Amino acid sequence: MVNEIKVFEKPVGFRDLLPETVLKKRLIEDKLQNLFSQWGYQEILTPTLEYEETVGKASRITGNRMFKLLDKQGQTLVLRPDMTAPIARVVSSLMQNSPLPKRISYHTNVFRAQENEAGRVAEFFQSGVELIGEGTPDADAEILAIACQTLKKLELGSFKLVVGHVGFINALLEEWISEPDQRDELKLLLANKNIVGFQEMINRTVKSTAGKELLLAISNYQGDAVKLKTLLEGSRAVAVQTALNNLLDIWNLLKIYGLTNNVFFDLALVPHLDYYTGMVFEGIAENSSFPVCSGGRYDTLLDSFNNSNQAIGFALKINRLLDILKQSEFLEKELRIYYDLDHREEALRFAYRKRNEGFGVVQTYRVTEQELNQLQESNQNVETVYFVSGEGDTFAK
Amino acid sequence: MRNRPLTVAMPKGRIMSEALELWKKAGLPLPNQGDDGEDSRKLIIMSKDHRVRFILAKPLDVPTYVEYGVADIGIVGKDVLLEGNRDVYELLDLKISPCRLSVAGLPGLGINQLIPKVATKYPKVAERYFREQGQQVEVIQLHGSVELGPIISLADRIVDIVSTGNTLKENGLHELEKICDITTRLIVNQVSYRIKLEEIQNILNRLSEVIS
Repeated sequence: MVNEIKVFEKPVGFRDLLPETVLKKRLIEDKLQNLFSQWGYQEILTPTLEYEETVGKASRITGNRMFKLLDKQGQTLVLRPDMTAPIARVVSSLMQNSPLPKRISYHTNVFRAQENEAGRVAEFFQSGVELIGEGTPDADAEILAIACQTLKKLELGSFKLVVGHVGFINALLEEWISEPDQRDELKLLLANKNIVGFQEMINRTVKSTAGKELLLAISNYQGDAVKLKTLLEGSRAVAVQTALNNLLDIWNLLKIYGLTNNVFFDLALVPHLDYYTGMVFEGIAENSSFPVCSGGRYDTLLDSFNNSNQAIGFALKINRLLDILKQSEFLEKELRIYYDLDHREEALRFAYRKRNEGFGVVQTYRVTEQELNQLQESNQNVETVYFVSGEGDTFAK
Repeated sequence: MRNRPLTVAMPKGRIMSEALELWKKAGLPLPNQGDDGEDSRKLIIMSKDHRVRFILAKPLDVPTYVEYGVADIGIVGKDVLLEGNRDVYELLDLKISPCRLSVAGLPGLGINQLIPKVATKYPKVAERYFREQGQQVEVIQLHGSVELGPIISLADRIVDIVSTGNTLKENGLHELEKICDITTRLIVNQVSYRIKLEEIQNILNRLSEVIS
């Protein structure tokens, strides 16, 4: 059976955005960029298509989740699956000589082929920042502070940042588990949020009681920095201490920002993307059933572009925000005028004057009274003015 | 999510009655079944204290409800989780309704080497299992009475849930390989896990104490 494409069909996972949504999207992005600019982040744009060999590989998105095509030379191209890898490429090449640290922001679409059911988006919008050339806890805290501020500014209700650090799980698994394959499997279980599976495998594979207790304890700990210290006492690994000190430094900086109420730690937070090397986090808002932002430190990603700079960044999932932010918050008052031939000049001058005063004005030429009677305006944010000859209420202004 | 009581999605049937048994032992609020009794056709039932809301769902839908956050917590068999691959936290093994996913077939009947066919309610699990064995099979999805498959020569093998093995035996089938053990799990929405942590932690702790 030939699967004929119907005339209104679109490729699966791709959507049209209609005026109301686009307005909302633009206002969200404006709000975000204003904030990013206040912290010194400058917006860039990069190509929609990249080479699979460079950006595709660096992004660590699995091959089957990228849209691929061939260019005329037979090279494989990908629709950019994220924005971190393209920015890594740009800061390592064209912006190589601009001073460090570099602060970059973006508002763009990224593409992921979905294998789940139809209707899941394949093209989605991200806004984010990357801070390149800073390995300090100050940089970590800066990114967390910006994330908090964006969620506050977007008025998402109460929100939390869940902060983890991949250093812990890497070091602890290395300390107690000798088989690299088993370590990978355990990390994958955490990335899949399968805490039951993780605990079951720890019970089965870790012989030492101390190691078992420690790994089980971190698998479902959510809390502040103070208890973290006691929690990790059983480990002798240097890397665990390093990661702990890093998180405590970040915590102290968050105190200065006054954000400790919005942040808590979960060491079992392990992202699917394996380029993260340090602190990782995701943002949770009570009105959304999915995280609204995520990010972390990726100190070795730039190596793919022969650049040894450390880096950290985060991105907001704009599609989630479009879903949960209410329409009414974004509607502006609008003036709509209708005029006939006799009042054309008068009406257009009026519209011109109002626009200069900062109003939005929509002007429409309508000749007959019958046409005018057919106009129906249900939108409360619209004020209508008529410039027509007729009965009593010809002019509203 | 804000002004809503904690919502638990339960699969109708045996798992639910066993889960509620556990719920009761743990001293957690039970659905107020009222005068309607067990046979209630209601899909949403509140607890007596109105602090917990129960959604009665098809087992396959439970992880979906939880992933999309219309339920904070879900009670569901591991078989469903394996098949669905949803983005939810799997936090507790309730160890109820134990059974196993197995491969079964008619005794003495080898697998068709040219086009091996496997009938199952779990196409993804079956496909993955045989692929990992280095075998490519044609997976035929059925929605019930999977045991029929080999008997009526629709398939060489079936992949299905086995608890006592009686159903297999009655249909003359033999359990050939066990794929994995299955028990009922408690799953949690990823945002609820953070925002409603105290309530959820309380439920987890109480249940942990009574799980045998």
